[in-house]
Amino acid sequence: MTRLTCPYCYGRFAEKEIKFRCGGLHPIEGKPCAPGPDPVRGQVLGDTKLQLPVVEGNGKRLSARCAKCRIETTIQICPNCHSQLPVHYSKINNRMVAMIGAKFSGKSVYMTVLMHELIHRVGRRFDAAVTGADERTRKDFSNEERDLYTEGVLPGATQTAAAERGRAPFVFRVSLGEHRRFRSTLRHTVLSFFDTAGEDLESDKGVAENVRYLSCADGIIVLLDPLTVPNVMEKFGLDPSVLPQAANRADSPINILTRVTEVLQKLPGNGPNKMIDIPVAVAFSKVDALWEGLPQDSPLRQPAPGTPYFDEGDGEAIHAHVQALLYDWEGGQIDQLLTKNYRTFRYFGLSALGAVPAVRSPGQARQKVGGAIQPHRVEDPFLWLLSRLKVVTTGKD
Amino acid sequence: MFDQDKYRQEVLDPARRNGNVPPADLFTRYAISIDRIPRGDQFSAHLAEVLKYWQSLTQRRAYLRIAETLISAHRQMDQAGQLTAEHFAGERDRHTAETGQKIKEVVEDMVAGGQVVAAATVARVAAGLGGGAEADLRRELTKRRIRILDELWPLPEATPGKGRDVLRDKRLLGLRLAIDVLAADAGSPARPVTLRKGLRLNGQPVTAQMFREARDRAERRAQDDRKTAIENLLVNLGDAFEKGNLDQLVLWELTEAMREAADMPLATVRRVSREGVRVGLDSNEAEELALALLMAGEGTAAPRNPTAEVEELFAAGSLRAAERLIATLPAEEGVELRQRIQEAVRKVAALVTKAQQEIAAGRPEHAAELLTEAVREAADDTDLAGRLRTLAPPAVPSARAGAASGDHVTTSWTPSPARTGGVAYQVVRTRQRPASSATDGEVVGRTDGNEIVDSRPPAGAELYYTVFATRSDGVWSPGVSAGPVRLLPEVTDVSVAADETSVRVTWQARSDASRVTVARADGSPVACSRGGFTEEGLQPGREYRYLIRAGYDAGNGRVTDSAGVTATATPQQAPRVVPDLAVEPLPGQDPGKLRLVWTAPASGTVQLRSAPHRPRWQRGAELTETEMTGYGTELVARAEPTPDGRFARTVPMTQGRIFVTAFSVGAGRAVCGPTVSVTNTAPVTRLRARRIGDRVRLSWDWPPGIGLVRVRWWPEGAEGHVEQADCWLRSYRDDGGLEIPAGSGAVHVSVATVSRDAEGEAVGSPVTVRVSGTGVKVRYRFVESNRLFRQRTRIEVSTEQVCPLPELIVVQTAGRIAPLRPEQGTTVARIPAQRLEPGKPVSVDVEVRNPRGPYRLGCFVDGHGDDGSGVVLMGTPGGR
Repeated sequence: MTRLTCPYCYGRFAEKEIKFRCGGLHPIEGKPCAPGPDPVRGQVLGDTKLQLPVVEGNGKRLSARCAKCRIETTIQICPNCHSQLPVHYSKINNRMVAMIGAKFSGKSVYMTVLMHELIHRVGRRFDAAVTGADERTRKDFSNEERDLYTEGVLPGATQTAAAERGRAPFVFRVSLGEHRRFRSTLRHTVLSFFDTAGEDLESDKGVAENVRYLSCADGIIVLLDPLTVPNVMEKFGLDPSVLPQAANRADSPINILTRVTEVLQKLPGNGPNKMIDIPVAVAFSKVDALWEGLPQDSPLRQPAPGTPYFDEGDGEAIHAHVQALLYDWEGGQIDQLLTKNYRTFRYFGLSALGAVPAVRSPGQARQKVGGAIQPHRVEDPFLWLLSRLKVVTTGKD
Repeated sequence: MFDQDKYRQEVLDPARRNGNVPPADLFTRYAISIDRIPRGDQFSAHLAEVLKYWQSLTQRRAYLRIAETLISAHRQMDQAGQLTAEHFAGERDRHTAETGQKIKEVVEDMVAGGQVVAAATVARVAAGLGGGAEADLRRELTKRRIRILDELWPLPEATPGKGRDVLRDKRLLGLRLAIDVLAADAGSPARPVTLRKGLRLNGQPVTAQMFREARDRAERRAQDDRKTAIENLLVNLGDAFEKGNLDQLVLWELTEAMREAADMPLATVRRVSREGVRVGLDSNEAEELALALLMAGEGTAAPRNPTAEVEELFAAGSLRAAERLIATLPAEEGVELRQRIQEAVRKVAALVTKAQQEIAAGRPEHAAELLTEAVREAADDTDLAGRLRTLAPPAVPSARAGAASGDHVTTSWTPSPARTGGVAYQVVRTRQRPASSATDGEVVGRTDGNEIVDSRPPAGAELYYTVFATRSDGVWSPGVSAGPVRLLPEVTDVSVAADETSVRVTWQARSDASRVTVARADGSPVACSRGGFTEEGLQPGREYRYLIRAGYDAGNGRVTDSAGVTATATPQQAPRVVPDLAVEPLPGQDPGKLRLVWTAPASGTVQLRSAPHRPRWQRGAELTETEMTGYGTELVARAEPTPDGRFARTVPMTQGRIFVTAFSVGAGRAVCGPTVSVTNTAPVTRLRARRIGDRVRLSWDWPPGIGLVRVRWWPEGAEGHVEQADCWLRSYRDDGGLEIPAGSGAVHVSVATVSRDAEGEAVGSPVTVRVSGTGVKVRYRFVESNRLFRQRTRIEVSTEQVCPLPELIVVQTAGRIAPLRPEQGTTVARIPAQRLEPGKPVSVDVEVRNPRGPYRLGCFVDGHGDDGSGVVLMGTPGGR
């Protein structure tokens, strides 16, 4: 029996275990159900807001009747965290994409820009509709998108999972294909992004707290800052001010990858002699800082393909180039680690902003972008994962 | 026969009362009846008789001041030659006119004050206006229904007995006047109280019967405070009635009611009388009482101390008057003052003596200086002033005249070297010769300065301007002349209109111009009127020049012509509408400038005009040049031909939105052409371009309020091949800036803000950037195949663009890592340099070494750095 994964708490459950929440409608006789405390949400998500009553029912059905008000409800909730599930969640594909990375590697900016690109440019490329799957995602993402694209300010540092128990992932619904009369190619996929705080991965304890999150992932994007790779700054002759001040103290990519690998190795089903099956996209962010140091024919300096499928040839060229660069930069430790532990991994190079943001002045609350958001190849890792998960097709130019 | 007594009473006494001001009417002053004016010697004899009488009056203290004043004025007129019947008559007319105006003003003021005025006030005001004005003033006041009170209402001097008690009881009862208690209803009487001709209540005199009836009514009232107050009031009023003092009591009561208003600042009869009417007094009587109250408030001056009066005269410079007045005082009074006056008299005498010596020595200006000092001491010594006036100041050293502006003459001079002040200058204009005296010619003007402008000099004649200096009329310095000056003003407002075969020229000529002549460039005359001419049958496209000259009468029947103004006209074919007009921001253009491009019309010259609004004419509408020039301002700049046969003009770009219209002008007409609107929107800033392969990614900062930009790009050196794309702010944000397919060569990119509204589209100033080129994209791929168990590897090179392919090498490295650079591996194949064409890939076998282990293959340009080969190699490393 296929078990589902909640996109909010990453708890696993069977379809029939799905519960419902009363809609709070006014019955013909009697009073409507009143909101009350939901101890489960408080315990799992730290949410103490009053909620309408939980309705027990058969999750395989799309509705259940509230025992109190006798009104049928279609609001499905996770049996573990009581979060409202996306519509028809059990009937459609749902994929968990975890994104992890070191502190100051630009995860929050990357996620906002990636979703923006998926909604707009990449959405048009794949003829895909990408929307927030719940009200909170829509609202919070809109706020972050507005801050970044309209106000031109970067998000603040992400709170750690330990510090913010209720930090919820962004859940998006991607609709691809088209509806045809006899053979519909329409398919919906729910994507859950959990933005990990950088500190979560800088200690074993922090990594361990994200075990559930990683263990449920169908694909992992590991975002690494190439500027924190030893000797890269000197090799490219970069101005140290391009790095955030605190990033100088950030852990190196190899350490981050080592901890993640150890966590994944501890997951059930893995063993000392088994490779990790979860596809991992190792993405080096901030390539804009390296731009002038890369050769003109570097694949990283080429535009992303505009094909409505993942271009495997382009992906391989990027992979081989970054792999060679890694050997050039730090002797291949990262590549060796990945080769020995992961069955499927792919290197990428991207830039979320397209340019190095301006240095934050002392009086500024948040750092300014200082120009247009011009992402470069941000969608590559995600599309590769989707191609591995058979959500998008693969092709070769 | 001169009746001295009558004259003294009717003329001198009023003049004395008027502050010793002599009558302004000289006939009155000299006791001459207007009906019988003596002629010739009789007139002079009469004046001498009157003067003698005045001199006799100086012995009488009361008439001393007025007599001295009269004698002084007489001498002044004598010196000015004004002791004539004609001058008297002229002065009388002038005075009559002035007095009439003043009377009108005074009457208006009095009307504003109220409807009643005291006779004393009228007399005082009339005296200020000059003798004889009182009758006129009274007549005017009567016309305006102003009553003149010859006798003011005598006011009570003290509070009558029981007056305060009466007031208290009246207030307690709430009555307006105490006698209202006699009225039947003890309220307000139906008719106002009159008092001036005996107290009358409701139009009836107050009688004992009224008191009895009032007492009876009071007895019938219930006992209370009011009854007591009424009874007390009746007792007090009754006592006054019996003693015959009731009128005085009521008058006192009325004055008490109106006094507060009378004591207010800026109180007027109208305002004070209103209080009297309010308590029930007849309005006429209220005005009279108000006038009496106000006049009483003015008070009377305290009798003056004679010594103080002398001191005052002495201090005011009236030495002679002070001298005479102190002689009438007892010897023991003002001893010290007397000494000072005598000392001053001696000083004046010494100055006069010295002045006479200077005159005798031929130094009149020194004498004038001494006399000026003497006059300062004894200002009332008319003899001294007269002597000073007889001394003419020195002539001005030099004078100049010029007609810089063409229609008026400015005369300036060096000031007279006079040693005293008070010198004035009179400038006289004459024709052909300088003026011989200050009245010989047209008096241009009189001034204390040293420059005067003749704003209406006659044109044509030779003019002289002569300057005379004076201290007093009739005593002039010798004249100093400037000139000659000849004014020959040109015609003005010359307007030229030409059509296909004719020219029409109009102008404005001065009214004093004798003639206007027009000559062509070759000197042949053109028939014209005073205002213009029209010449027909001219050749189109040829320039015609006309010299227009104005002629003026130079005297002696001669006419002198001006230098002339030139009018130029070129008959032209009818203008055709300008086919098109566009705003084209081109590469390298100054952002603060605007480049306008148009196609030249078949005929007519193009004039670009800008205005903040569209022209009111439709495209193709024909209009006059005057109408056209009334629209906006012309954009003046050199028109340059463009490669496509059009014309371009680069003009400064003003702030905000403008409409530029191309007019076609010719043959005296204009045709309205196309209009473009241009908005000087702020340009984009921080334009950045990054080449990504054969595309260029652009970003810039959007100026506030702009949502659209127009991006144009063209290959370097090929400015005619411009491509264009519009980018909206929304798509810019959503898509991360703008990517343009720029190709592999260097390109120039310009980004201009665009503003669209109901009026259309306006393009702002462009910002440009150059993007360097990249190599031609050359793709390579490694193809592996097995042939008879022997693996074969080939490299295939292709391109989408013809390019010279440099020599390539295939490098093999051992292991899983592809080579980044050629030196990281071993060269296993070479592709010779050759021409690579699209669709014709080049294939070369690669001899892989040690194929059993993992290896990678990479392709590189042999012997070149990153950018020197002209190609960009794209491909996936081979190997396994």
